[in-house]
Amino acid sequence: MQLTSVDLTIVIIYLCAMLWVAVYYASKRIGSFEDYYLAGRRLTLPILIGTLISTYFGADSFVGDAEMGFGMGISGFFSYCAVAALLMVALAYVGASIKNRTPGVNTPIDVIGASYGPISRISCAVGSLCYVTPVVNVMGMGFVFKVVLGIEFWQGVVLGSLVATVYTFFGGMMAVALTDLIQYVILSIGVSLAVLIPWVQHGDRTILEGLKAFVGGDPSFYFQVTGGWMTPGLLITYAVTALSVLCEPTLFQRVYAARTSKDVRRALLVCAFMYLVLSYLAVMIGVVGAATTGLGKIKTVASESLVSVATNFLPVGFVGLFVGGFLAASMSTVDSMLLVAGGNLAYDLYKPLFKPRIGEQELVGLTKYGVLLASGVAILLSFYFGRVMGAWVFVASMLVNTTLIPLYGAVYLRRKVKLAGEISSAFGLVGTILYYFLVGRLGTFDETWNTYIWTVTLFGRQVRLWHEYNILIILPTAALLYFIAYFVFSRGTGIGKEAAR
Amino acid sequence: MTSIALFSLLIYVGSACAIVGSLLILYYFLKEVFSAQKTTTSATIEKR
Repeated sequence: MQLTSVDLTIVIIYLCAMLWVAVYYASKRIGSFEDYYLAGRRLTLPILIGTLISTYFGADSFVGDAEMGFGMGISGFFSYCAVAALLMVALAYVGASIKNRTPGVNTPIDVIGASYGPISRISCAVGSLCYVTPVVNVMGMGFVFKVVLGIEFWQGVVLGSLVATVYTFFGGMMAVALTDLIQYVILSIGVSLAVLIPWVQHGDRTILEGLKAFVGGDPSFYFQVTGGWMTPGLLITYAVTALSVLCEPTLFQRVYAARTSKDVRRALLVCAFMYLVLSYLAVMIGVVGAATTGLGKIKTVASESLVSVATNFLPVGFVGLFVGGFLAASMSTVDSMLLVAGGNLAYDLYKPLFKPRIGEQELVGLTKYGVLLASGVAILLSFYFGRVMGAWVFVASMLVNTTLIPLYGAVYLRRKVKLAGEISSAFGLVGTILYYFLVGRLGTFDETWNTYIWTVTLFGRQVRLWHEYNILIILPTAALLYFIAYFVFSRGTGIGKEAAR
Repeated sequence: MTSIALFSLLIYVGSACAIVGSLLILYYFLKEVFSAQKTTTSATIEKR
């Protein structure tokens, strides 16, 4: 595909605007780690909303939702997005309360480290680091640049990562939040037009005929909530995976960067609604892709339906806007993840373990190098990962299994039992890696479900263990271990002001 | 046909919400920036 000069100009203006932010912030002096990592805790409601939505709605959501819509219709929306949005509403209240209960804290790992000590801190920081290394979104940028500029995939990966890394490196959270807000506007317009224009062009009746031709039978499952495929087991798995919302490091970074807890609650409520809307529109782009393929107007597969629909049905100028929107979805997530990864390395790991009395300027410098390191690792990993969805489930499991129980235990339970936090987070980390290794090694790859499945016999019954089920086994076990240790070894320490120190 | 009509309607409503919502948020952000600038400028003038 070759972009017209108008579309290309729009994409180039977008990239230049992002680099301008980097140049602007390069001239400003950043005084402390709090200024660099949390924008001095000065984020107000509008910028908070923009940065929350564009960070959470990344290229993985964009492509993944369209892919689900292409093959499964509207049930793709109800399987994950609706649950994630509900959990975001829960985070609106919990996040605001955590911000109030732990004043002065910079990261959730601060809370965990202060309550349970270094073993928990390291386990959770590793889990978080896995989650925030932005492999999937870096791959998304490489894919778009390859399609629209006709360059190699690796060149696209390097170009996209370079732009995001440069402004994150120089400007920290303030630059990230500002670019996120602009990216959110471009993203919203791009996604809306990509579904609205082809839907209006064809009309409901033609879309239905197209779907009928596409599936070669009754397409009514495209508009059913369960789609005829979603079993209760799968729904529970998706819902549990969506628990990552409750300990998402980039969302928590914004919770701490907000000016007040009232702003946190309002921003997350708006974010939940907007995330729901954008996910719904992305799923419907996939439905349009399937229908127009059935009508013989385009020829595409699930993974390319998003780009195919946009490039075939949008008029000149709007394609550039859509490409900008897609890049915005990727870049806004990449920048946020890089910043959190830099913070994980410098603030959550290096500072407490090697140099507790590190100066503010040195910490800012180290965080910047952490951003560079995370960017390099993400670029390298993007060349090796084949299955995007598989990679996502793994990193989400790493985060949830290590962090969720110790974090909420530290904030809401009266006593802080060191052993409970240590055993729960360490088991979450080791258990997740071990489970993935065992199922990958001893199981077989199932072409139908596109995942590894290990069939074992338990009490005379055959049980099929999917890669995806790890969260259903490890998380409850980690919770059980936490509560056993909690009730057996109850002895108190404090958080809050102590954690802030 | 009824369900497709409903989901189709949701596309129109959703698109309108997404576009208008994002522009509104941008508007409030710019308003905040300009009012902050105005305050800084008048404070500087007063000081002089």
